[in-house]
Amino acid sequence: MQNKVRELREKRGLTQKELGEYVGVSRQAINAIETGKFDPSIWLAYDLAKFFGVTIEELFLFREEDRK
Amino acid sequence: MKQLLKNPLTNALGLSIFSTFYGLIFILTSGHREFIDILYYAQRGKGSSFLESWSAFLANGYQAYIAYALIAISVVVVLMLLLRRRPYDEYHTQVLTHCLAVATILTLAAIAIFYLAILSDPNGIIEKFTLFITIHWSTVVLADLVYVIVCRWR
Repeated sequence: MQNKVRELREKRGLTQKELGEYVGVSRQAINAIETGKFDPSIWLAYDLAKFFGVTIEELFLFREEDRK
Repeated sequence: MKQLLKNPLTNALGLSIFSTFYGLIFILTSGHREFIDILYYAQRGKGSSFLESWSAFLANGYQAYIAYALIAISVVVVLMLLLRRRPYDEYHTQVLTHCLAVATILTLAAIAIFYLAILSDPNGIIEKFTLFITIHWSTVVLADLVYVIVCRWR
């Protein structure tokens, strides 16, 4: 799923590991989200959106073709 | 289920039970007279060269070395799991779920293949099934080792 996690993280000058520590997941999880290999749970998406001060829809691009 | 898989202790307990069970069987049967007597190819010297060699390997009790090697790897994996400071996150849990699904599919396929092998030649069922268990056990232990290395926190 396409998202703006990498863009917002880099704007804040954070590493994947640091962002992971803020939201309680591993660096691998953040990397997998950024590369679109892993769709986070609704709670992790909420935590990430809250951390960046945006809505979930602004952070994750919901496209019909990505629906599983 | 996901909550259970998030806890490294679940994986450690599962692997410990798995390796203890097969380890005991492999070590106890090693060099055991009754076990050697039920080996078909070692007794009769019939069958494919691979099965003859495998049967001779079992008759010599060398399966104990397989058990020692896999138990040693299992101990390393269990120690890595027990020393883990935090539970797995949802990404790791998804990877583990996928690993378990692949292992289940491979096991089901292996059961079908070995069933066909036994139907085509019912002799040497102990050798064939021990080979199946060896492959299955090795796959599970090595896959778990790769998993704990890849999914280490830092």
